[in-house]
Amino acid sequence: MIPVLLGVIVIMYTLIYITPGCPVRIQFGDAAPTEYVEQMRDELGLNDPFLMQLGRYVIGVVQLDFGNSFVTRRPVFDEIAARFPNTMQLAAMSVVLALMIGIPLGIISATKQYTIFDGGATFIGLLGVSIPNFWLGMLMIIFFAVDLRLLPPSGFSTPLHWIMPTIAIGASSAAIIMRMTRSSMLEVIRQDYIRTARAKGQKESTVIFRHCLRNALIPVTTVAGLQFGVLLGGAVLTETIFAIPGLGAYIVGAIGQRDHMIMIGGVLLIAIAFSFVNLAVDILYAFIDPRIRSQYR
Amino acid sequence: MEAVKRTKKRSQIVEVWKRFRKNPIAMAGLGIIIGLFVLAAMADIIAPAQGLAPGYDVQNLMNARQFPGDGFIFGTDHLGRDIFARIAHGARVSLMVGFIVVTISMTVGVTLGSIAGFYGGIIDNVIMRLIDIVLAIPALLMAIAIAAALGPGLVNVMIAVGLNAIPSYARIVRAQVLQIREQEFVEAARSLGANDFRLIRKHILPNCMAPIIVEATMGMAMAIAVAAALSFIGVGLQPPVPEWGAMLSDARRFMLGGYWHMTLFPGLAIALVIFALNMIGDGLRDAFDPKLRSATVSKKRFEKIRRTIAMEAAKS
Repeated sequence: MIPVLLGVIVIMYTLIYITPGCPVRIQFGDAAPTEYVEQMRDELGLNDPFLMQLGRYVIGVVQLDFGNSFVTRRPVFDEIAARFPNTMQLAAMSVVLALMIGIPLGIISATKQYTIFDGGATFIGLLGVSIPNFWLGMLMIIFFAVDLRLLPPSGFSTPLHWIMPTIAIGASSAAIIMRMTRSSMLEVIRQDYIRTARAKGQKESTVIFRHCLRNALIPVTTVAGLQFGVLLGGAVLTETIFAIPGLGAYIVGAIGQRDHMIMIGGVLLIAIAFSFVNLAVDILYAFIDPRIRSQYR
Repeated sequence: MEAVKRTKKRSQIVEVWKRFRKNPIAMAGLGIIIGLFVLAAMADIIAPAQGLAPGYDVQNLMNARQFPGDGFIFGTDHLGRDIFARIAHGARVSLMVGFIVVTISMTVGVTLGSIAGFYGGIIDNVIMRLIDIVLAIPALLMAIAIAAALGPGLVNVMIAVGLNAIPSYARIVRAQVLQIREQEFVEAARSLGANDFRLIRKHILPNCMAPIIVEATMGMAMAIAVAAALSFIGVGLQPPVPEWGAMLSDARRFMLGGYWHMTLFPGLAIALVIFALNMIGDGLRDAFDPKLRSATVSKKRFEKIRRTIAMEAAKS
């Protein structure tokens, strides 16, 4: 994990270094006197050679010092900590919603394969992965906020504000989880032990939920974990549209303002959060699958 | 010997097409994509007839934000430009971006993946660690950062989108190559004196084409979606280029005014392309590997299978 994070720092720093546009100029405008801008650049260390800047940043990160924002001059860690919970909450709610919709739909479509339910669920699933989440968000704002005046169009303060963004980014995850559940269930349902369970006269619901679903859930867990990571970084557009003070929208804003420290710190934090989610998924396997649990005994 | 080999080779493509053709969903997807290509090719002919001639970039503030109907089937945007004409011309941009990005990222990804898989050891380690690093950065943020670094413009958007697409090809190809390089026919070709390049190109890669083609189809959908997202945020193609994402970006400013048509139609175009490409991708996956069938079986065939099973059950 540490070499990967180091690599992330190097790639992001290189990208930032070659990005045209001076952060000080952007902040103070063209009218600012050149001497002043140069003095600020010296202060922020922007005039140092590339490797020196990079080395200083890495040494800082090792000491858990992510530098200060160029714009607000406050520590990057504090700025991000103020916004990360919103992004985390949005991603978590969306994954929960996706699991609540995706798994039942996947089960129905697998157990009733080749029926109208299956066709319908497959079609909805395909539609779900195809609709861009920012467009879905915009359509929902127009319909539910502008036309019907049911929900607030922007913000993230009350549960009422959470509904539309969660649906907007959860929809595609729900579709992906549904497709995964379906194909995984279909694979398990043909196994010999399912036939055995039916042959010994087990109730159909027990066969599906105890014998089939528990075995089919493992790949679904992997995909759900991956989706959580994708949503952490992919909520950018949804956060922008609903004006949610989250990390993704903040990083995009920082890219516009050339606030280097926020850009790199934010991406780094998402990468770290992502690897922790993957770790959590690995641990979760042991709870779902006794076979994996017994390996580590 | 030669003749046998050739007929077999041809028959695989025919077999795949036969299976693909039987899948109504996949064929519908193919139809939509062909339709969009026609729309893109004829954009210059169709567009003036629909809006105020000529073309998609005629501003007329008298006609600003007209709702659909009355000469503008999809209405007009905030500068009075015909939305249908802009969507038709936008199809050119999006399809071109999709195609070029897929071609380039596939070439690079397949090369990296086959080198990593074929040689293994330290080369494999270096390439795969690099790919892990790229994958650790959220794709959209990475694309936005690259696009910001390179500046706006068509080529830069393609680079930003394409760099993100490379890892998935590399991973798929590497996994395939790792399996195939151990098989006897590779050993046989090697003992006949084939060099590494020939082994990879003539013997190994043709055997991992199926997942690559499926990934390329889905990858094109992905590329179009990411390019639209970049334009939406404002780091992609700049106005007045008629790009679907950029049109949505304009629409966003008038969203609260109830101008639903400005949002609905460009987004519908994006969704339709992605939908169609995903349908084709699903269909191709099933056609290449009948064992993994996930699409619906026709009712007739299902009845036949059901009857066979019932008969066998009655017999035993």
